Amino acid sequence: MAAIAEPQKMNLNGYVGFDSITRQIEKKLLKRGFQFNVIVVGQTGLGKSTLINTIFAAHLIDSKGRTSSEEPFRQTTEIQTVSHLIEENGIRLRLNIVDTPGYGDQVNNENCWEPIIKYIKDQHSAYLRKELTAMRERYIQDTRIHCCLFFISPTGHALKPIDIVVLKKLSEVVNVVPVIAKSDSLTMEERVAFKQRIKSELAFHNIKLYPYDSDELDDNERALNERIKQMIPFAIVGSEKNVVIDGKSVRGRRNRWGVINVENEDHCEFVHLRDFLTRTHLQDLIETTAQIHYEAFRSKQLLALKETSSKQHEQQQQQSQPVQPQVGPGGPVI
Amino acid sequence: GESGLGKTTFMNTLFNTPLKEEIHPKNPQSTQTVEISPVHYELVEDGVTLNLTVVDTPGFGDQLNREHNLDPIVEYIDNQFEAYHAAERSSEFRRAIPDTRIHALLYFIAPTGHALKELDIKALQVLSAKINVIPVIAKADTLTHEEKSAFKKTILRDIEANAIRIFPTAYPDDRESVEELEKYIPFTVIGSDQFVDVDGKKVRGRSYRWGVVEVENEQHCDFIHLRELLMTHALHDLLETSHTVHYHNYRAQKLRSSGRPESILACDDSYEHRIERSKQNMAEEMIKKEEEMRQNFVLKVREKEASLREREEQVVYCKFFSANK
Repeated sequence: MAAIAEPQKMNLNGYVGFDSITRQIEKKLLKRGFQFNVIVVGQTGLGKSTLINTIFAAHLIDSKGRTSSEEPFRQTTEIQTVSHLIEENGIRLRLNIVDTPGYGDQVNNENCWEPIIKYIKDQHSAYLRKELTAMRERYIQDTRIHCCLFFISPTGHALKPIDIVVLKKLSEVVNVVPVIAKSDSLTMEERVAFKQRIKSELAFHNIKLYPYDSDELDDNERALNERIKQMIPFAIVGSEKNVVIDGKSVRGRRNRWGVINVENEDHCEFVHLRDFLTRTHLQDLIETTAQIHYEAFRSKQLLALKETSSKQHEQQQQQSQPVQPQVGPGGPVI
Repeated sequence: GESGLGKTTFMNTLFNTPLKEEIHPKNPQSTQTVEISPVHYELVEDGVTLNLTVVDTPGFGDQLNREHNLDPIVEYIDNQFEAYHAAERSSEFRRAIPDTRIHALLYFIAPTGHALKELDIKALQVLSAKINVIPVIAKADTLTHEEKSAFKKTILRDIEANAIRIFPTAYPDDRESVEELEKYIPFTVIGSDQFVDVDGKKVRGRSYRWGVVEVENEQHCDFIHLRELLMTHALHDLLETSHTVHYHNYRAQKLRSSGRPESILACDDSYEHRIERSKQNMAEEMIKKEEEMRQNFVLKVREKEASLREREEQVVYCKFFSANK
């Protein structure tokens, strides 16, 4: 085989027009639309549903907390998926939101994370199966989870044992973005101290959070990632209701002592989280899921498949051997 | 209550003294079980001395499996009752029995806005059957005014549905009516170790970027109502209800289960003993008499046998003589 020579860089003498390929790709992608799947994990009453509705500026999911005494307690973590199609400036986004009611609610929370891990892995395995079939569709519907928002209770102390265990397990299969819920109960100093403690605990337990380091990043992207990493976990306040501040109607919470503006950077880090999820890293989240988590899952599965198929092959060979000695020198023995 | 709900800060706020310094960082992963750490204080106000014991329960609700979180707490409560019971029964003068029984339990509920969690309901059911329980909504500055009232209603419905008896509503006979304060139950509290400047005065509060929360402002939280209930109106009622209702319940249960007779007076005791003893004596005497009679009988039988044999011999001798004549 001839080695492919290093390509030479040539200067063009006139305008050719292949730089319009970006626009051609865009048109194709516009027609296809995008798919984004996010899962929210956190104890009851931390404002998960409200935050999703705040980020996407629409009432997408309902709170599934226990609101009356007649409702029974959930005995296990349930997985509930809601699908919406939202459109902005002609770009269509199919959004799948997976809620996990019942997580962390029982008296005995051992193994409460298993339904979640199983669901995430099931999506990977469904995609793998579709990929491996001989007659596969042109564009496989991507139900793999691209982002996991993990809600931390604003105690001000440190992470709970359940948080550490679940964060460890989740960060191995999905991009995890931790978030401090209901952070309007923390003053500025408490927030800074709390974040510091959480970050040191995460480092101590070797929990890898999104964004990950990669060689392909250029300096700008790397600087942006550094800034994001400084801010993680995001301290947020969510609200679907509007309040009037200085004549403008913004989303916020009104108390007897003041008004919290969700979109005010001084009050909470909601703006940073929203921009991070939708404006800067949306494409990267989808890509990282495919390239890192899905690939890891795929290689494990295929290796396991190879092992089992080679074992079966060995077994078949062993079974075929005993037939031969029967055809001995004395003629076939029955 | 679970860790991080501001229990220690609240106690400092309630007694307006830094009773316990918040140890940072409090690491909930290190506590494998619920610790019971009672601390004793002596507070003096206007010549009145109050011996205060504050029992904190770090570790409650923190582990993965919280099924046995209540056991250390219940054990502690029972031990205090037992100590009092033993002191009551002792023969020493009972003028000053050291009363270490729990008079009030403040249960901190997380401000979720939903109904009570399973752990909360179980804990409240078990604890309210043993002592006075006052439910408290912690970190109330996370809730807006509407959320607060809705939350209170939800909690009260949950409490009723699960037959949880909270103080003071469940003990109408044992205290003066505190109806005004009762409508604030469960109390929303905000605690603070820091002071903020409001209109030139230094008050306890929390300062946020969007406003300042004052602990003692009725519009902001129910702290002053709770303090009134605990210190002014119901301090004596709490002590009394602990003794007349809860301690007596404990005592009755204990006595019935150990099978002891209802009366433990000394004279009653020896009366029973006397009867026992006389019964025993009679029994012994009967046995002795039986023995005697048996022995007598045996003797008599032997005598009779001996005399009969003599006669027999005589008869044989006579016959022999008469035969030889």
